[in-house]
Amino acid sequence: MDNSKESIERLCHQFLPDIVDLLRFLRTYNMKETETCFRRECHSLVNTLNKTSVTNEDQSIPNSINVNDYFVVYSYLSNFIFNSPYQIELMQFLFPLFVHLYLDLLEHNYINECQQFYKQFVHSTFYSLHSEFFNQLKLISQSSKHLRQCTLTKAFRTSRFFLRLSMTSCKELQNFIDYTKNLTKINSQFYLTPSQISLLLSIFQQYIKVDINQQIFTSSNIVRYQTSEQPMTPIFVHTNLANKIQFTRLYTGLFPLQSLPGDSNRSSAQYSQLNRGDLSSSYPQINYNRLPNTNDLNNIPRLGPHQLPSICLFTLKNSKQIINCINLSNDCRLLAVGFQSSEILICSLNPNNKLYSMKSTKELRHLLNKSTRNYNLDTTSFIETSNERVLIGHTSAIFTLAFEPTKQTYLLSGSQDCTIRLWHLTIWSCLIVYKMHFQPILDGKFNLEFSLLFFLLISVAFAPIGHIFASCSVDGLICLWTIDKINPFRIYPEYGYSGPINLVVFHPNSNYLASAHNDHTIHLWNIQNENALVRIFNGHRHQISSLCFSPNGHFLISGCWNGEIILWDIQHNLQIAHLFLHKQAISSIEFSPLTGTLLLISSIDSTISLWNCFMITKIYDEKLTDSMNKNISSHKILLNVFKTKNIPIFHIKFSKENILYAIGLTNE
Amino acid sequence: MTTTEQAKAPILHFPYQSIQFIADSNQCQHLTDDSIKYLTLEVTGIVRFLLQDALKFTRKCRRTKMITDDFESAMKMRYLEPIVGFRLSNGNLPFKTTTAAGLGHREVQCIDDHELQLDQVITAPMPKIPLDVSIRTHWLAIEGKQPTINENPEIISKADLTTDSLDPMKSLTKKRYNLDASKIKTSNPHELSLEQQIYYKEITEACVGSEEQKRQEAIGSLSTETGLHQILPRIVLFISEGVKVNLMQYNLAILIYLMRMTSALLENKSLYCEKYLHQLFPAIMSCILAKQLCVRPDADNHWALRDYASSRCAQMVKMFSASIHGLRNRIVRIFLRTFHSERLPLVTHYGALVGLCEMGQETIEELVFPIIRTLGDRIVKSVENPSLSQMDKTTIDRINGVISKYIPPAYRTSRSTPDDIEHFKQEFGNFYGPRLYTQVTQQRQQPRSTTQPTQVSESTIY
Repeated sequence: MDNSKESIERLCHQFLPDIVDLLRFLRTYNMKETETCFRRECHSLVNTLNKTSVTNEDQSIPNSINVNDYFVVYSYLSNFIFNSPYQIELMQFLFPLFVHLYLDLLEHNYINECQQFYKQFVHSTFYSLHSEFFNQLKLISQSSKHLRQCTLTKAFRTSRFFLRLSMTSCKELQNFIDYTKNLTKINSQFYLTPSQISLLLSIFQQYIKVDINQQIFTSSNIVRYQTSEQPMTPIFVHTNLANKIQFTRLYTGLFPLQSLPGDSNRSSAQYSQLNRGDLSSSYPQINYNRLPNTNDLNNIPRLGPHQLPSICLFTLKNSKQIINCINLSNDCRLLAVGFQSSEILICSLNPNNKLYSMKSTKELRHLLNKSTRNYNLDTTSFIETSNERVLIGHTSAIFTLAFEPTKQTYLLSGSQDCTIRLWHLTIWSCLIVYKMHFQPILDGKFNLEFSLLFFLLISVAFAPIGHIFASCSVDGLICLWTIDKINPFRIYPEYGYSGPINLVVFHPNSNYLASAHNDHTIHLWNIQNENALVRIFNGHRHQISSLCFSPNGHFLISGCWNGEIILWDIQHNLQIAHLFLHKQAISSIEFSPLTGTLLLISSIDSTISLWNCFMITKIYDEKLTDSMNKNISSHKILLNVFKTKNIPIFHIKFSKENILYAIGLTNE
Repeated sequence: MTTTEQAKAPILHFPYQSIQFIADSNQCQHLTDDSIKYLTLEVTGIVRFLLQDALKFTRKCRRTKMITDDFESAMKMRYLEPIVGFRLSNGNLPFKTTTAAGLGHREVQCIDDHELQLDQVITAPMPKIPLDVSIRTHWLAIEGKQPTINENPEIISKADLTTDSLDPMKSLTKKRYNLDASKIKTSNPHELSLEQQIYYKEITEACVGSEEQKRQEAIGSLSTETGLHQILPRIVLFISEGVKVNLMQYNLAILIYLMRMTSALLENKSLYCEKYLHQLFPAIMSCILAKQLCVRPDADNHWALRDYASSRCAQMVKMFSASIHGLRNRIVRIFLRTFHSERLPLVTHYGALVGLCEMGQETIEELVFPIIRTLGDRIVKSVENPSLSQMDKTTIDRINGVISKYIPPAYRTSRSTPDDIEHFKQEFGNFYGPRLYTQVTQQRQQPRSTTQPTQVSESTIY
């Protein structure tokens, strides 16, 4: 009961200014009947609220809060936590408490007290953990009207904080609260009035959910490079979700189909043979194997600590501030560049590999007439004149580009004009425009496996499953699309807005989708089931700028804007390593192909670093088993750092020949 | 501490006066103070949100600097009409600062919108077309190693950086070693202590500085100090590089100072320069044989430097010829080679002659006697040349002086009486034969002890 009352009240309080706006609107458009009706509804709502509020506790009545309570409660709890041996875990309580006390003060228009509260309690250690949030919070210290506009506070108010505590530290806190409850006035130092205790508990109940780990408190085993142990930070998720979230087992391994591409080829070939009899006459087979794959991939030595990769750096000159995004095709032959001026430039990186274009209709007809029984028609021809093509169609800045992973004949582009376009790279025109997002598209990714299926089955023309891609946007939605439908077949998150989403990446086995959110968390979605959210990875202190799955599917690596990199164990939701080397945003992360033992990280501070990923996991395992010897030297982790002459690296990608292609921008 | 400073860092806040100014310039003069205050709060709040949104775009495009386009996008996202026309080509903000008329006299930013003349715009030259995007390729790494090519930055370790800043000479050797990769691996660097670094700096500065007093102290220190082993290579390098540089600039004074340093090093009993001869000899030989050592060769006394350097050369040959096989032969061969070339100027011949003569009795007997004839021929030839310069004249005088100084005593000790003028002419040629004959006969009449030249005796002490 209590919960529902509170929620109604909060709702009403939140929407009161909106109601006023709405009334004004109705009056200006002279809608009298609607207005009277609306007023009646409002009155009844307010009346019920007043009735309930009489019975409620004193702290929930607006305008009668005791400001001093807020200061006392917060200083009291922070005092306890900073003196506790379990500081690292209990520290998580402080941030939600701070946020909600602060927002309460703001909501009640105690602006001066609010600033005082901020100044008094922004601890130096504590501040560094959430510096971005604090910066944003500080910005809204104006009026309660701004409070409602701010997306961040909305996110805070509609979500609950998840705290992961060990058994011991949880008990410690429990004992402490019981102790304060039973105190008499004699011990004045630790004394809290009942109203203060209830304030504390109400915030705990309303906004905090504790996830108790059945283990004893231990310090973490994270492999570190130039980072120090930091207190944990709480996750916050939407209330609707918080109540039903459950972390099930993941199938992070690869499917056999994926690991043996030769087999899948054969099966599809058989499939096409079965159907060829009746269909082949009407559908001439298009020769997609135009790009010769002469190198036998088995003969290329696997990369490892003893076989380091070569890096080829492509520098785009005079390009800063006009280029928004860059992508390389999977075979690293084509480079796609998205401009601020809404153009897309496709160019071939190797001058010997010309771009192709479809032959004219006359020639095609001629070809068809000449050789009706030949299925390998050569429908394309070189573009002789230049090595680049411009695609025009979007009406605003391009923010993301994605090549179709297997054949490089399709390109997806996401733009600020809220559309996604699919381009064909031999016809050189836009095929489909997808519209769903109502705010700029920030990222789009092709799914690996389904694209594979689709393109293998295209010869029989009725593929049962489409080719899947995902997109995310500032509007806080992740959409999953099939290439042949203009509507998304799945939209995440189900509960609605949770702040902008910056990045989406598919898991190598195509079952899962990782998205980087503006609240510095990474969400992992299962795209097969309805019960979608399967993991939340929390630990970054800044906006995430890059995400990558390991080739074996067990690890996720994420880089953020201050250059910190975290390696995650997906299955157990654990942080394996914290690497801190780069001084600026991580632009791109690549694992060495097939083996995944090497990790290459590029940053816009114009360096590329080479890490030994195998060693990182090995050290982590050693730490787990050998708890005594925790200070194993971590100097073997970093293999090399390659510096450029002040050329920020924007994108890196491994080609099949084990050469790393890096793209840098410069203005010189 | 930085985090707390960040916490206190100022955040965007429009000054009250700015809003008043904007209101005034938009024909809203009659706003009350309260309304302007409210407006200020509102505008500040809105712009803060817009900046937050614009930051999203900036970061998405991985820029380190926000551009106006990002702000436009943020405005579009909030369904506000974007303000266009602020795309800056030169990077300067189109704002100018003025003082507000109100009480506070605070500075206010406003847009500088001066009126443009249409014909000016029309006749103005077209702005430069921005350069097109172009691609350049290079290898950043080959199998995990960064190749040393122009496109890659030089790989400098921290230790190198510190020593380079203290000792610029060292970086020069580094560069030379870079040519040969095998040498990098074999040479192992020795770190100098801070005291040694300071000593090195003081000594080198004093030796080539302008104060004679200090120089003498420094040179005295160099010749007596016992613990110089560590910095000896550096000082030797300093000398050899210094000679190289100053030889090109005809800086006679510095060359002399450097030779004095060499001399001091040689005098120091505790030092053993054998390992650095490959650097010292070229320096000294250049001082002896160079075509020109000073800005005005006819006026400046570069002869002194040549003499001094030759005596040092002879001294070194004497010191080290025992331990280094063939050192003497190599030095002598260099000197002799100069006499075979007609093109070389007479000053070089002079230097070579002095250098040989300083070597002592045996060298004079074996090597100088045979070349006097060819030298005489050369001198006769150049004297007959009508365009004989003043420089060459003094050089010939000098050569004559050297010959008359060294040859007669040597001749007197090597050959017994009687002297025959025809024999002299045959051995030393027509030019020098008669002269030497008279000198020798003169000397033979004097008692032996007094005639021995001081220079020779000095060099034979060692």
